[in-house]
Amino acid sequence: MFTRKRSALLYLLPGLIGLTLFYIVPFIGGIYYSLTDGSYKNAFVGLQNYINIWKNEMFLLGLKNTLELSLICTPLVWALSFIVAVLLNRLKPGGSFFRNSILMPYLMPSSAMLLIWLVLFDYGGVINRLVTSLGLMRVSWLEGAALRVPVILMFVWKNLGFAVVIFLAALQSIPEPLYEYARLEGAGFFRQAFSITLPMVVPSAFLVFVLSWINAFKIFKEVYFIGGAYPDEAVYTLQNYMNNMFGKLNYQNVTTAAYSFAIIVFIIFGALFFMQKRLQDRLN
Amino acid sequence: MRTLRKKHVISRALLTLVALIILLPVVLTALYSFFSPEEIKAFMETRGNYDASVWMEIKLAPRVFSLSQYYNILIEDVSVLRLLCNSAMYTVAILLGQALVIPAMAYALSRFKFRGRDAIFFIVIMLMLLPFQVTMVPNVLTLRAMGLLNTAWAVILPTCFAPFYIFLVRQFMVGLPREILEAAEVDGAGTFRCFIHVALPVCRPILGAAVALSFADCWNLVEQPLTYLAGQTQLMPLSVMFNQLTENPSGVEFAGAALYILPALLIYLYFQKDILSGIQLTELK
Amino acid sequence: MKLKKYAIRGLIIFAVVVALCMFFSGTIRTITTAKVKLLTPRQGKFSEQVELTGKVVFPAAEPVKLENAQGVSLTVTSVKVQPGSEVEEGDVLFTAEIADYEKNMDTLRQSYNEAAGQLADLERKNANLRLRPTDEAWAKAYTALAEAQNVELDARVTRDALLAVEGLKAENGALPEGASEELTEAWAAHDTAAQALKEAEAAMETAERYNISETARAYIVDRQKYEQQMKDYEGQMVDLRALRSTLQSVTAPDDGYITEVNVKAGETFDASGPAYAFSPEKEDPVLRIDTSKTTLTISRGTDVTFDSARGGTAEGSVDSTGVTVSGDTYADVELSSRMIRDLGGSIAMLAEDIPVRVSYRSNDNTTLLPSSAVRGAGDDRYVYTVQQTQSAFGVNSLVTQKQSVTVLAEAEGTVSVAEDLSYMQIAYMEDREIGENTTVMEYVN
Repeated sequence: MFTRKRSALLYLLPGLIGLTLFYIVPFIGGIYYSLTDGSYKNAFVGLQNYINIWKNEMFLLGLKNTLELSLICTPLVWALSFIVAVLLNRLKPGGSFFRNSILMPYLMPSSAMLLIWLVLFDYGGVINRLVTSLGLMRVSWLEGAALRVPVILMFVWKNLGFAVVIFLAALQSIPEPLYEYARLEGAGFFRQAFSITLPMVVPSAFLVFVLSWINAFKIFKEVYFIGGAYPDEAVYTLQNYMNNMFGKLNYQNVTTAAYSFAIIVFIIFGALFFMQKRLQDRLN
Repeated sequence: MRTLRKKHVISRALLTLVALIILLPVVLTALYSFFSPEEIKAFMETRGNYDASVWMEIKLAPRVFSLSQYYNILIEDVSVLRLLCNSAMYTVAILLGQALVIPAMAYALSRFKFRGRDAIFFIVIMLMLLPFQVTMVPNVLTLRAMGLLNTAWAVILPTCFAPFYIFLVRQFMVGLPREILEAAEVDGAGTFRCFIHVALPVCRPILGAAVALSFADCWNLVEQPLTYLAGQTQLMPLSVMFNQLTENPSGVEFAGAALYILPALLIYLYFQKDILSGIQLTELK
Repeated sequence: MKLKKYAIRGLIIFAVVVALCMFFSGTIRTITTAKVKLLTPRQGKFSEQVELTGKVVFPAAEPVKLENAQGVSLTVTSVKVQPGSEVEEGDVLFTAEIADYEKNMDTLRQSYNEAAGQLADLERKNANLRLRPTDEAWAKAYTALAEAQNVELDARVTRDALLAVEGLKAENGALPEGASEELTEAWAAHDTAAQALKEAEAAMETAERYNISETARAYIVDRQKYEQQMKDYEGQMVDLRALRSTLQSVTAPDDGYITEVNVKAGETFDASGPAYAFSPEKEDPVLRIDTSKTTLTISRGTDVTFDSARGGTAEGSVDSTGVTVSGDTYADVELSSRMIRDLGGSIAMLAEDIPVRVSYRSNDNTTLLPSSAVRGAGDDRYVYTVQQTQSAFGVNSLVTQKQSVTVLAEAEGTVSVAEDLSYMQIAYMEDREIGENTTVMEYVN
């Protein structure tokens, strides 16, 4: 480890300037906005903005939807990616094609993919054909509460690959002898999975979970593409709310909502980190 | 061995299914880009029909194999290309900015010990966790103060300091064997030479991964242009404008989408190995 | 590694292709796009000159028969006029001779001489007959009776012929109601004649009471017969002689135009048909223009011009229009004497078709388009309007659209269209075929 602080500063400087300039300083400065009323006098109103925003229906709807969507998406991606990673890990030498194709959507611009999703999810589209062939009624996916399904599926489609790769990295770092030993002990597939695989991948699993959640909080593009600035209330996310407030130049509301959301995010991830620490400790 | 093979067959079947589902949209997009605009237009107009007795056709082969969608985009109406160039401009600018900022910062955060290091890293992680709309507020405040709002810089500058890639590269650097850099140090190389000649080459996989992932992000910029550019069409990247392509079907959407996917696909193919090995080698905790 | 190579090559090719396309797209587009001229249609009165042909017609012309030469075979010796000739009253039109004049004359003379010889014989035979005053009176009454009988017969024939013509019947010898003036006159004349006949008969009865000898009676009757015969032959000879001199120069009955001549010099002529047609001068001839070949509706007041025989052009205007029996439309231009002179005189203009330029000018404002802008045929006529369409990215391009039109009139170069297209832009003079929804560019010179 180097200890020369001056050269450290040199490397840090460009990034630090940027972060300070664009994030830290205005973040702190923005608090001021959230505490004033936005009139020409800019009177100090204390926490009134926060109280207002927490009473605002649209904000609450957005918050609820964002949390709900992320709570659906994150475990879904997490579980699916784990399963796929395990499957991939088993055909170690031959799985590269599957791995590559599964990771690919992560780099695909979702804006360009939207069109085909709209075609697939149309009322007369392929997905509904599958649905009816299972003996169910057709669903109009692109409106109402059902809109969540394509949004979630698009999200899973896009983010699955990256999670799989992280999981796969963790799985491949598990030494093979461990399994051989377990097999000798007579442990079955599920036993192996739970007592060897799972503990070994806890850090990665946590990372996947966190990254998925981060991405799930960003689940805006898809909603915006399908539903526009004012989508159905089933998918009206906090981002929609903030973008619309921003569009109306209502900086007070935007900043207040942003900080409220930031606090929620910090609380959630704080809790997650705490849980992960506890879990790690216990496993060790 | 027999049972193992059998299990592999099941795995393979499952994975094939997953891969097919995942590849389907991309393949269909590519396929539809070779339909004639008229056919696609007619096809797209059958959308949104809520008559329960009507199905959309499943089109798997064009009536006439046609390059006219591409011709339309590449020759007749270059506005798509112009937007594509906007996208490329943003991407290149952001990647260059990130190349200047991120490895250096990751290097400093991983290889130096100084007071406040952990605090800075904590801030980076915090910023990483926040969705764009939260960080948008401080960004806008600064951009407005600097008078950069509604210029291309508004999109480029804040994105150059993407915390996620700082985190990613830093994690990789933390995991590097200490001996490599120390050996160089002992040889009398300065930190700068260490950085350039030792650290960066060693970090190649994660840097490749970061470039690829960042490229994907930049290529898919939506929120930033929408908020910072206030609808200035001539500055918008193509990713934002796809929305409008979808709304007024002109029959060339799929070729546009295919053209837009192509560089991302090539970048992905180029950096594929780096992404995998980079992530594999990163200490992700 | 191979994959990487391909990927980086692909990226470079992609970039090059995009750059090339952006660079050359303008050029390629200019080359491949159909170029048209655009026009905003103007509203106006459709005016057009059409070349038509006309003929000079005399609407008031009447065929003329030689009434006094009925049944006489004639030989035309010379014709002094031709169709179109302008004549004054008394001008000689043609001359003719009666084919057997001398023979006829000889026959008549012979018959006359015969009658005169018989009368002389009668006188000689009765030279010794002394007519008494009573005989003289009887002879007078006899002659008067014969005269009255003739007069009464003529009057009766005239009256009865008129009655038959008017479809009436004389009941109880009274004039029926509704008789024309002529009939009334004829009735009255007959009454008078009948009265005269009665008186003559009464006088005859009185005369019969005289004791008239048979010889005197026969002498008186025969003498009266021969005298009558001689008078008749003399009259016929006079008539024949008069006809000959009339035919020696057939003259115009009035000032006017000869429009038709049916006689030919050196040929015989049957007088039962008309010999020529004549139009009195106060009725102007007209130039009848055949308008059935044009789609334009020529109406009263339309200007026409034609080449003057003296160089330059002469002008007139349509005075009336009509339809011929066969359904062809025509327009008449009354020809003043000045115009007749401009046409080279009435003889020349009747001879052949006259080319006429009709300056059509519609009464209503319509949309006027150049012919090349109006496409299609028959009832399916349309124009291509050009509309600016915006692509999703705000780039404007011109796209053609079909617009049906109703063609009112069409002539070389210009088409008159009923629809108001003044708010549209019409594409025409394209440099290659264009259809519906074709992207076009405007010519820039």
